[in-house]
Amino acid sequence: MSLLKSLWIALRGYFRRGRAESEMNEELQFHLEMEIENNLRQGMSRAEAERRARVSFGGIEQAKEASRDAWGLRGLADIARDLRLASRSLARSPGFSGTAILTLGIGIGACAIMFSVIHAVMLKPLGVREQDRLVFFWENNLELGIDQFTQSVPNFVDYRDQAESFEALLGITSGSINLSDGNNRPVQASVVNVSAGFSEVLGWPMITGREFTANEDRPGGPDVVVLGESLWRERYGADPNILSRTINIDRQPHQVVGVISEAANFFSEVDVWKPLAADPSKVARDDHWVTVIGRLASGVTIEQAQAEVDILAAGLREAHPDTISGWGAYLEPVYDQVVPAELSRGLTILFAAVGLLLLIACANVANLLLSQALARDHELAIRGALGASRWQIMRQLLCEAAVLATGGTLLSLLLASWGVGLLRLHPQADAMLRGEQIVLNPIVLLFIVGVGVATVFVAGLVPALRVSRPDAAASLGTASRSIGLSARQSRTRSALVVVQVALSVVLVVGAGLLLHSYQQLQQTDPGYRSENVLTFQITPDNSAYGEREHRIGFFNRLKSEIGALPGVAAVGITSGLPFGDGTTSLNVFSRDPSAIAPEDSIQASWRIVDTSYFATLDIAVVDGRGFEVTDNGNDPVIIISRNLAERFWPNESAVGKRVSPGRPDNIYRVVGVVEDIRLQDLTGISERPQMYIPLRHWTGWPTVSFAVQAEVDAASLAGPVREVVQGIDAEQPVFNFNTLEELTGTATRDPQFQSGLLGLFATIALILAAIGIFAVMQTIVTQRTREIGIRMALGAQSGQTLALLFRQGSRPVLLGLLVGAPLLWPIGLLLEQQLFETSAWEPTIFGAAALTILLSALLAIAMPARRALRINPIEALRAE
Amino acid sequence: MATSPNDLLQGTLGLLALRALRDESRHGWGIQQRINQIADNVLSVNQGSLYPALIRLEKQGLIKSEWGTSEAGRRAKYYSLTAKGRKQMDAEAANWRKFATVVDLILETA
Repeated sequence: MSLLKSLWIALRGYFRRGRAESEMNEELQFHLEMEIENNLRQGMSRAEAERRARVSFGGIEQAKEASRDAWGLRGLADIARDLRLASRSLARSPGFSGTAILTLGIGIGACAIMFSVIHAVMLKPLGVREQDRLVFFWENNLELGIDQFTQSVPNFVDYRDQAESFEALLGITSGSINLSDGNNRPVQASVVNVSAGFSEVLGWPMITGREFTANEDRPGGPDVVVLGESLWRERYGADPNILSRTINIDRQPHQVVGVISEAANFFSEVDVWKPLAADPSKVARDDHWVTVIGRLASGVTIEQAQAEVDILAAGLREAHPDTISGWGAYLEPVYDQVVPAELSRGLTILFAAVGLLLLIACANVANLLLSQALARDHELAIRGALGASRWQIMRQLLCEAAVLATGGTLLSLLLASWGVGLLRLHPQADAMLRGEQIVLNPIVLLFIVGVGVATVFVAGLVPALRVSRPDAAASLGTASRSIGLSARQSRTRSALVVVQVALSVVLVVGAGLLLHSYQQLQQTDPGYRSENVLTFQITPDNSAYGEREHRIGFFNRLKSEIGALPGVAAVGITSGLPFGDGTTSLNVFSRDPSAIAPEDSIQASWRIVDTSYFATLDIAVVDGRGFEVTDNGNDPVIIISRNLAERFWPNESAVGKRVSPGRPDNIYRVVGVVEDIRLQDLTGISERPQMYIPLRHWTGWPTVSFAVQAEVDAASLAGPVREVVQGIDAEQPVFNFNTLEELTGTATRDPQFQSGLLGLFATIALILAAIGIFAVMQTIVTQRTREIGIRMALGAQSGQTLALLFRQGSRPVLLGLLVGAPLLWPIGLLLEQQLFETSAWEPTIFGAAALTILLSALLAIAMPARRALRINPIEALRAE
Repeated sequence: MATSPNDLLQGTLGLLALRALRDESRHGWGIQQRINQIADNVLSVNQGSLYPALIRLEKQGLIKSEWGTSEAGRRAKYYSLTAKGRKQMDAEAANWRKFATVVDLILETA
């Protein structure tokens, strides 16, 4: 405390020293005048009185100096002076300072960018209040191998009424609705049905109005809605009187009671919020479709809550043995769900990469500082000889590092905000950053400043320690004549280059591996045609197309009118496109003798498709036939993928065999076998075999996707397609226009993002390392000018001179490659899981990386070496 | 200079300055005059070392200063004792007397 206090006094004194100075002058002046008056009173002449006053006072300047010492400002004033000195000396060599500041700016900036991303994604990913207290409350069924499943409405209501570990349990279901209000075109809007209190529990503020009351969140409650902020702004022009409006949802009028901030974005943007109004009497207990989020009561740990819900679940199982036997409860921190291990692993890798980058940048600056200090060897030696202590010389060098780091930190702020802006252009990154979270929040700023301070020491300490021990006699005696660097200093600088090269090896190889893996992934054949296919979705309105015949008629009309558009080659319909939203799968059993025991099943993805789907996507039928219009469910048929067929019947045709998807009483006859495609995992690792059910059999699937194979640019068909739909039914929304290529591309976004960033970091690392090598070579050439001159005068060929310089310059580079090689072991282990069809020990990538580094090193050596060749021997010798 | 009374004063200048401020607040010149007056001009204060000493005393919180108007109507910086300074003065005076007594004793018996 007293240390702080004296520091405060010293600081205050320092900043007020102008005033303190003038007060001191005034006080001493007053003293002298009093003394003079006193002397005059004793009868001295004016001149004598003044002289005597001065004599008896002693040295006025000494008194002032002693007073300043007494203020205790010397240390601070010295450092301020050193900083001024450092700034001045750095300003004298703008090339050097600029390079160093740019280097640090890039290093710190890269760290800042990655930290912003990590801060947004991993540390504070949700934009909810007290995310640590939020848990997903799943049901699980370990017998069936289900780890987490949504709850059934009756179970949710029972848990909500009984569990005491939670401050609140929110039930959530989502879907889409037809939104119309007479003014605008009807649209398909996303809807979330949620329990009352969600705004309060999740900390999402209301822009206007209120959220649902408990009275509204009950079966048979009033028809009320809360609008999402962006829907309110975009569709209703931020209408301030929105609360007096009624809007139609699925053609039913609903009263708007509030608008919620766009922070309310848990899974994706939500247009309309409705009360969940859970009605346990209307839904079966084994119909699991409510996602439940709980907010733990204050002081309750997730383990305690788990213990309680285990007991409750056992009670429910006992009470309802026929419907939920085998089902339990499982709590999962929301964080684990939102930040999957894969994402945090990818980000950790990138963060480690920028850490390395910063180290390389620091080594560079250390190297530059050293070369700068060596050029001033003479000056520093004189200072040392005149009595400057080692600490004083070190302090001067650290001050230079501090000035550079300050410049670098400021530059990094610019680069970081610019870089984060660039990152946002990438859809994956933008999604991760969740729109609103900006780079320059206080925590990120604090981080940047901390990193900046750390760089002062990392970059400044090596040169400070090295240079503060100059051998005065040697420097003063021979500095101007020395041939080559002193062995010790050149070793230090070479060591820095070795470090830079070794770290670059790690980054370049890492980037090479990820890029190779990304390329492999991109070249993977997904098994279907994705080029020039337009996709869109329709949710046929139940009030108009609830009847099977109406629905089929609507589909047929759409197909024939879209198919008649110019440039359209084929139109297909499915319940879910590859890499579209939503996945559906069922356990399928064999009903005929097969390689799989009758009681065992295979988990297979299923899709509902129409007769032309396979043709539209170029999915080959390898056995049997595709679907026909007569496959309408009277005689249930199914088409399975080759993988599923081969697992059931490895040695015979699957056509004609019977299978049961889901339940034993569903019996389907296999009429065809198609090639497997990638539906949700481009790497194929987690991809399941597939089966298809004809659209005319399962007609009621709510939202269907259309695929339109085009002979023209697929995207250009969106307008005509929309007109066709509106022409058939002006009240029917059509949405989610995409190309199949874009959908497939979502599967490579993560790897593209990661490998792209790592590639960028590796490139920067290479450039920095090259700058380091360049700086060392530059000094070598300068210091050996005379030697080279002598050699040339003695008849050395330029080839020999070049060889000499290249030998000297490439030695630390080769050493760096050697030192970097063992570092590849941990990198390989770290990256192994991220790689697709790429070995972490791919020799070609190692070779290419080494070659890249060598080439950039040679380039960095070549420029100073070329200068050496232009040395004129006569001038070089005369210069001495 | 080596054996002038001022050397002796260095360590005790602070105590003397505190003593000079015992009864009233004074400006720097007044403190010096008061010390000379008390010491009956036997000890003369090096005026140059008085001001650093005052700054040190102020930093220790023993005296405080404020700008006021002198007898002659001029702006001057006045120093006065703080409560802490008064306590310190008593303690140091006691110490000093003890020390002086011991020195006396040594001189008498030597």
